Amino acid sequence: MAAVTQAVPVHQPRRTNFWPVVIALAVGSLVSVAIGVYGSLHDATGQAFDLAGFSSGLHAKAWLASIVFALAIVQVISAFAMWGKLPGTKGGGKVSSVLHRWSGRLAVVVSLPVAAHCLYALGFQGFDTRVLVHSLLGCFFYGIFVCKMIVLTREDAPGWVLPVIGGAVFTGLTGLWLTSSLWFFNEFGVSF
Amino acid sequence: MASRGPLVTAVVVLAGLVGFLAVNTAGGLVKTSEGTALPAAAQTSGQQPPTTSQAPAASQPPAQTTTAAPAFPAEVVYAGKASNGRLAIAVAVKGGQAAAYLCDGRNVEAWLRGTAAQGKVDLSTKNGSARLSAALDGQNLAGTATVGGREYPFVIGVAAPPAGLYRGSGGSTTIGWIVLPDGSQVGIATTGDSSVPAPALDPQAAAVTVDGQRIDADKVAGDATFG
Repeated sequence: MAAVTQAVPVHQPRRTNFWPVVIALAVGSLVSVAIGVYGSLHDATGQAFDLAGFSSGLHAKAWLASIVFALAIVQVISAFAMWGKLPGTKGGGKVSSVLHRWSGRLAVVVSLPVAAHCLYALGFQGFDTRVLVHSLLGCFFYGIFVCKMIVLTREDAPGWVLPVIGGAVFTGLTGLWLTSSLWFFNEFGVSF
Repeated sequence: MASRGPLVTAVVVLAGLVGFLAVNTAGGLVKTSEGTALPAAAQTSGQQPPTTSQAPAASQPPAQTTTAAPAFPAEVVYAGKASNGRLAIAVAVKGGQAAAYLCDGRNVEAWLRGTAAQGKVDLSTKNGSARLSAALDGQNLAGTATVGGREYPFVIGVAAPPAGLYRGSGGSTTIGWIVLPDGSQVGIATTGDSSVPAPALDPQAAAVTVDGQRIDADKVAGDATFG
């Protein structure tokens, strides 16, 4: 094929700079480790989380986490729409990007009281596989989330980085939901 | 993509997490009157029963005094028999509430209600004729029930379904069943003033027929109220 000279628009950065991603990963790792250290060192109190309308703390957490998971699914769909991968979308749309940003912010904010209670009252536990996976993913999730936020501030990261990190965030959250809410509804039934 | 928005989000998220933890420490989101822990681990990490100690109080390693008080799982039922008699005892705990049933399968029975906090339960009947108070001992519940003028000390273990406490009422008949972990049952059916041993209950069917009338057996949880 004949080489084609491409006119590179002035504002398009070279998408080969991986260093910002490494720094983002490092910062995210610090966050993960800090959460894990807090969860392990802090004496778990076993105290209850009280939210009006729910029959117990665990019920409240299971439902809040399910709301977060539902929003995470909106995240995946809106991400597909943003990149034009959803049938009927062209990519770069304003609605999908606003939806993606705000569903994401809402999801992570709703997750905070749940995570805070988990850390404060239960701590990092490893007495069975489900609990160990949940503890590890809990640390991982906030770290990779912060990493994603940092990567988003750069325009020169390789193109594959954002989908991979976004996918990791979603996978982490799914694992968290499976090892908590789904397990809880399975054990105790779906009720408020 | 905005170059500052994501950073703001990250900072808000981290600040929020730290904020919630600080609020918890100051006694905000979490309440001190209830105990919640994942059912398989009633204890926090420091509570291993010492295997070689002679004087339990003196030989507890210093680390034990800084661990949190024992806590009940969010929802659990203990069932078993008293140490000194034929009284069967079942205690259901849910959140900060507890419900219990004492039954000897003949003519002694009592439904009690009370509270559960920091690994201890305290229950009594409405008129105070029967009382029960107990505390977590490892995974078991140990304490004393007082009914009919007698004291019944007990150590009972967790009753996994289908074992547990069941209650059914239909017409003027109320039936209580304690299904013990070994599968045996102790129960009494009371109609007005007369009490007879309860008919055998199939926990899967969750119902019995008394005098042609079907009575459903409901699992009793810690927050049950007895009419």
